[in-house]
Amino acid sequence: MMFELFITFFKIGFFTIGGGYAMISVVQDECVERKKWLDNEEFLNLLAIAESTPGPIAINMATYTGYVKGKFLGAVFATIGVVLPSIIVISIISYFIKDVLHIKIVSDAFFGIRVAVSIIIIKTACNLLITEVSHSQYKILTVVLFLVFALVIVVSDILGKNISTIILVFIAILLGIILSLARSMKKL
Amino acid sequence: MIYLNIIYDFLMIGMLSFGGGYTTIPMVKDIVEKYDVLNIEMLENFIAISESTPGPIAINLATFVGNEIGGVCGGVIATICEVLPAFLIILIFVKFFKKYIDNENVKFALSIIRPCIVGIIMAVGAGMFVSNLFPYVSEYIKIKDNIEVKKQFIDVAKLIDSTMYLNQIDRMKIELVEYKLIIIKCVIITICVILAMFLYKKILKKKLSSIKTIILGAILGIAINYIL
Repeated sequence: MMFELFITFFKIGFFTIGGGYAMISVVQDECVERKKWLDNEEFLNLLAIAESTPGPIAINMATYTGYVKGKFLGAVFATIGVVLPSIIVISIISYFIKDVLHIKIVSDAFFGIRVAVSIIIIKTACNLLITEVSHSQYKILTVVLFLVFALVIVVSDILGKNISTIILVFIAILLGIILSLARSMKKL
Repeated sequence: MIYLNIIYDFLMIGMLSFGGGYTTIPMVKDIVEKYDVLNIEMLENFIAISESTPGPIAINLATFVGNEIGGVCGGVIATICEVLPAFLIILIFVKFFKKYIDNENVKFALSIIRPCIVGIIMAVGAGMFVSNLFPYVSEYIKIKDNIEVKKQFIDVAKLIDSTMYLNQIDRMKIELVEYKLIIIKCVIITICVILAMFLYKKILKKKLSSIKTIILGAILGIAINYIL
């Protein structure tokens, strides 16, 4: 069982390109449809937990499935399985990437890639914002929070000061807790 | 000692990266600046590679940057540290807090936290986009001003010895053309990528995947440097 968990998640780690969200459908296919380790409802629960806890979604899913199937050891094996392909592939790439980047055609390609990546990130942020706004009961508050956090970083960049992202995330968490408390008080 | 720093920094990232891969990018950027191991251009290359190689982006990026700071060991340590908090939190969650996921207040708190993080991601994307363009634009303006100043010198120096200034202006003009070309290339690639995303969605009714976008960017980069 442990070995099967390890191999399955190693495969998932190795064959999903494009990060956590791409992995969701692969995990569903492997663990729900084929191996029947989880049923559909459990999988949706898992998604909710993965999205609302910190850490890469892929890790959350591997740990959860591993735990459900094989308790603590299962979680360990599944998580190692999903991480190992990354470590191997990236370690190999970073060994020779700097030499390769000196070749003209490669550096030309990366010139275009850098522009493409920044567009991808902006687009992802737009999509996430649209989802947030459409699901939220407090649409204006959502947009305001988004704008404030984006602007704080932009302005501090322009002023040449660096605000640590970690501190910003802490502030966001604090805000979440305070506003949530305030709301529940008002209800009582 | 360096390993202790890596452990601390990546544990922090692992603990605070709500919502997966893209959230870790700004934090990793902070770390890269702190250790001064990579320039922003190289980091963007790494992000692109992380996106187009197997595995979660967050993990790939951790391995990359850890490698850069402390060799292969650094890469492994950074990755483990980034994974550990998520691993432990899920274990604790499954054991004790599974019933709270549907709690109204928890849900509301999360709905406050998430837009803030989306704002951070947006700022980082915009910052990256500008960093492809801005150094060249500011350089361009600087040189253009400089040429004007030099031209005034020539008027004053007129017949005495203007050849030196003329040579300097010629050299600056060549630089000017170079920078202009880079800016134009950036703009063309941007327009092409956005157009491709739009058309792909309109015609095939599917969104252009990140990997295909990156491949498109690579092709455009090679093509445009070949043509211009």
